[in-house]
Amino acid sequence: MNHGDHLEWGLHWAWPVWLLVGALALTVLGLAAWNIRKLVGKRKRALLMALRILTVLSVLAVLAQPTWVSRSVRPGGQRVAVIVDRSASMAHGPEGKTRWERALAAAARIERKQPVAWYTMAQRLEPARSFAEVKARKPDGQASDLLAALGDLGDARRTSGLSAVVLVSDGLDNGPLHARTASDAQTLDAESAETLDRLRLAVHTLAIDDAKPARDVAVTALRASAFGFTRTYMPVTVDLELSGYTDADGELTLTLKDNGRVTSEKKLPLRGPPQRAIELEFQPLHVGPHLLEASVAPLPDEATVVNNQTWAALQVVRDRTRVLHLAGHPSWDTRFLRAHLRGNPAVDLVSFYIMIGQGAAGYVSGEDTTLIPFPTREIFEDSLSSFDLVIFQDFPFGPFQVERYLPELHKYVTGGGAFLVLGGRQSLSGGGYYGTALAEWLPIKLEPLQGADVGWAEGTVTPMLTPAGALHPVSLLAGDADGNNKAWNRHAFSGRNTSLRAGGEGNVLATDTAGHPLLAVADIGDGRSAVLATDSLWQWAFPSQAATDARDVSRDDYHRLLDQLTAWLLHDPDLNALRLEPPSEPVAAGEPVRVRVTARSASGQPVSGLTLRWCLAPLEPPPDKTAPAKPEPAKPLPESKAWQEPTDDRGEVVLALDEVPAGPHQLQVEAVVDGRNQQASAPFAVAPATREASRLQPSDHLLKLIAKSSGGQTWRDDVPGAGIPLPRQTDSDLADLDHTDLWTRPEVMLWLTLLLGLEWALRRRWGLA
Amino acid sequence: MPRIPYFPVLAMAWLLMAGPAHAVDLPGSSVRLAWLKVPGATDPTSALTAWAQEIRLRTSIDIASQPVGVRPEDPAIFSYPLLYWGSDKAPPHLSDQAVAALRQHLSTGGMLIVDNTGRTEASQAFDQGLRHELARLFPQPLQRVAPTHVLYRSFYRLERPVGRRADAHELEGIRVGNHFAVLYGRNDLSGALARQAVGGYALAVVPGGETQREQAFRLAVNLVMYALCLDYKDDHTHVMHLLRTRRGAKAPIATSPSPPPILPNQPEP
Repeated sequence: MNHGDHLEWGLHWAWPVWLLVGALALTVLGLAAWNIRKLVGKRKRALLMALRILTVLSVLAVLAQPTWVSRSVRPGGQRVAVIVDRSASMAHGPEGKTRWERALAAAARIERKQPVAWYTMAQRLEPARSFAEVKARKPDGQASDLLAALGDLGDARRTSGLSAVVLVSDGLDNGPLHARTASDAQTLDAESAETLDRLRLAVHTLAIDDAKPARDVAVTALRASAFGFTRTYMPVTVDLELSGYTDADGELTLTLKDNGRVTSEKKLPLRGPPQRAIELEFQPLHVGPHLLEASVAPLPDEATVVNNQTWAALQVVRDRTRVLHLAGHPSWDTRFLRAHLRGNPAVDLVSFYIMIGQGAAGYVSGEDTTLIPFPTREIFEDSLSSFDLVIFQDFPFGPFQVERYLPELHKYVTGGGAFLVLGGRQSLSGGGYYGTALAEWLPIKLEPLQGADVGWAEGTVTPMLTPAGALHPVSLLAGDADGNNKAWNRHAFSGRNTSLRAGGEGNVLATDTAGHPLLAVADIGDGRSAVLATDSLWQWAFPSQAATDARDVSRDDYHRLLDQLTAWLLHDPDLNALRLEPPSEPVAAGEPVRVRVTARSASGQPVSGLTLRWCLAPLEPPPDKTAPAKPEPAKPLPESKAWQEPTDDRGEVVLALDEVPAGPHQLQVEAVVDGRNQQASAPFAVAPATREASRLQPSDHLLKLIAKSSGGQTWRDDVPGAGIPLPRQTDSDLADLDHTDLWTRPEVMLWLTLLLGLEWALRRRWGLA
Repeated sequence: MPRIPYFPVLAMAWLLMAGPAHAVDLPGSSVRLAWLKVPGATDPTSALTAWAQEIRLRTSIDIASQPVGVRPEDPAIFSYPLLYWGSDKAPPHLSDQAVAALRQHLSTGGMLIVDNTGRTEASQAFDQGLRHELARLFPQPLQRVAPTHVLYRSFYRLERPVGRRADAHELEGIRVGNHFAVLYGRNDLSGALARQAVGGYALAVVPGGETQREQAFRLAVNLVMYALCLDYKDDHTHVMHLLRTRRGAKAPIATSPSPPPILPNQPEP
């Protein structure tokens, strides 16, 4: 036993509790004396009483929680705890050595003067046995929590024998201390100060600064609503934090992308406030999951580019379908189509009908009529992008100067718009479409008029489904193939457009008996187009030769075909056999990416037991061209893998993708549904760990507050030549105290058991209960 | 109101009809006026022919020049969504088959224009009989067509309906859904349109003379426009609002200082 070793009692309970315990002990002893009063033999009674007293005293001793403190005197003087910040921000350094290297150099100088207990820190305190072990560590911690590290040190077992603490850091905290401390705070908040008080040590801080300010632009947040409506502009706010560019000339480029497609770019001057909130607008075009990316182009002298972009996911729904309906003349086809569209309360219909012929303008007085000028410019320059669907119904666009706006229309379609051409004598080749830019993004090929061909053929036309049409969601008028063929066989058209043929990447879904295209569809860039080469679809809604029951069926076919055509043109996800639900926000790096896939048949029933194939692709915009980007039937995905788990009874399966690298991705899934290879894709993002990169400029503000609160000092880049100032030494400063809890040791339990067992045995032997 | 030089207009109409695009009557989607062959009904062929001619002359509607008569119980009425029924005599009791066919026709998109062709005044016999027969078609009675209804703006701006006579100040109709499927006028519209074989008009128009006849033609044009366009012209009361509603528009259309000019020979919608 050394000098100074001693016993400490816990005695944590309040005195009334102890009073109660004492009374209880006396009661137990009194009852014991009463119990043994009739026992013959003084010695026996004295022995039993002694055992009971010993037991009670032992229990009382345990309740007092005795701790043995042994003091070991350590030669060499006072130790200093040195904590070196190894968070990722310490790996930076604009010129020369990194902050980490400079911190190690300064820490090494401390050890030359004083004995050191070594630690590093990032999210928590990390003990080290030696400086060599500290040196071997990497500055790659993904967080800096100064308070947590000091709190860990505050454990009584670690501070014993320490004289001071030295915290070596760039001061960039991203834990609670940073959150709780205002930029102009003069003192620490009470909670943080209490953590330091528990140390009962001075915490000196060594601020590692850069010789030259670190330059960095960080996209710290992309704020947008989690839901949007198609073709409705929504505000997006991008938060930027600029370091080291306060007085710099030049500008940076902020880019906003939607599913990989650039939607807006903004130039911003570098000179200005370090924190900025940039307002942008974004117009989602399609229903379904969208991934927004805000990024700034890397600047030549930026410290890091890992924080130059961020993502936000949102779900886009359609509130109303806005339809622009342009008709070359009023007809029964326009009448029934109008009634169909107006019958849908979710449709906003904007119509323009050409109501007088070219020859009539001279003698129909505009004053007496309700005619208005055809607002070509307003429609095609200002409002086109606001429409979900544009319909040209027997519309000869040539006389109305629409041709000059074809580039806008092309941009609209390839950018995600929907374009439907309904035929007639004034449409397609007969309407002068051949040779125009518009003809290039139709799903059929137009031919020049020759001889007596006016682009139109009279007569009854019997439609026939093509193999593609038999499976296409647009032309499915019944749930099964036989029913579908029967449905098409009960209809006919009056007249069709001529001088057109199947061609390109479009899908011809129905032809006449001679194979002339009647109904065709195509993907055009991000958008879609369709052609129905007749003006008599209305006869399905008003059949002339049919029984009453058949009329109802026929009318249903009319509405179903138009609904499906519209839905397909609008990329309605309900038409997709496979539907994906990607994560609703960017996934943290290292976490699995979970995507729910639902499979439905053409009749809407869940498809169970389906094996999916999947692959990841870069999230890139489709090529900006008029040729279809997604020819049908879909080609199999390259390098796809089978998912081990099939769809369940609800047609669902969750793909949990591990080890997906940081960045934006496109998940592509395919499966054979209804005998056809179906594909679907959805965007998602895996966010890189950028917590440490959100701010890069060293700051000694928190370090000064820590030192001030604990009675320490703050130095910059190096420690004083005289070493770390220490308080005046006492005996306890030079010794390590080792605490041993006696009351928790197993010997105590054994001792109590022995006493109680012996007393029980004697009592049985001497005839007591 | 400026008078329209009818002779040149008609001459122009004939010239247009002689063109290749209109050389033959067009089936399919083209409009053909059809009249109901009901016992006692006036044969309106002359009037409907002139009606179709004026439609061709004044509008872009692709309309067949020759009307056709069809019995109401004939399934062929479903080839002609627009029906005309004119008479000045008490109508016969329609067969149940005819009532069912007409009800089906009018309920699914067809339209019936009824014309009281009484000579000196609206025929009471036809009026009463018609109301009785229409009551068999639809439970809802004939109702007044308000002067503000889109029918009076579907092509021409009209203040009131006139025909060969002008004593009835309003039309009546039966609504099916959001539109009138039956329209009933009591001013002998076909009488104002009918021509003699030699070229002149068959009947004098009273009391307004030729100006009233022109108004009758305009009403005839509006009726066909309404059949084909429904409430399209109602759109235009709010279409600018729709366009101004900034849903995706790069700039509000209201910034346009004035409507774009109409180029020479450029048709108007």
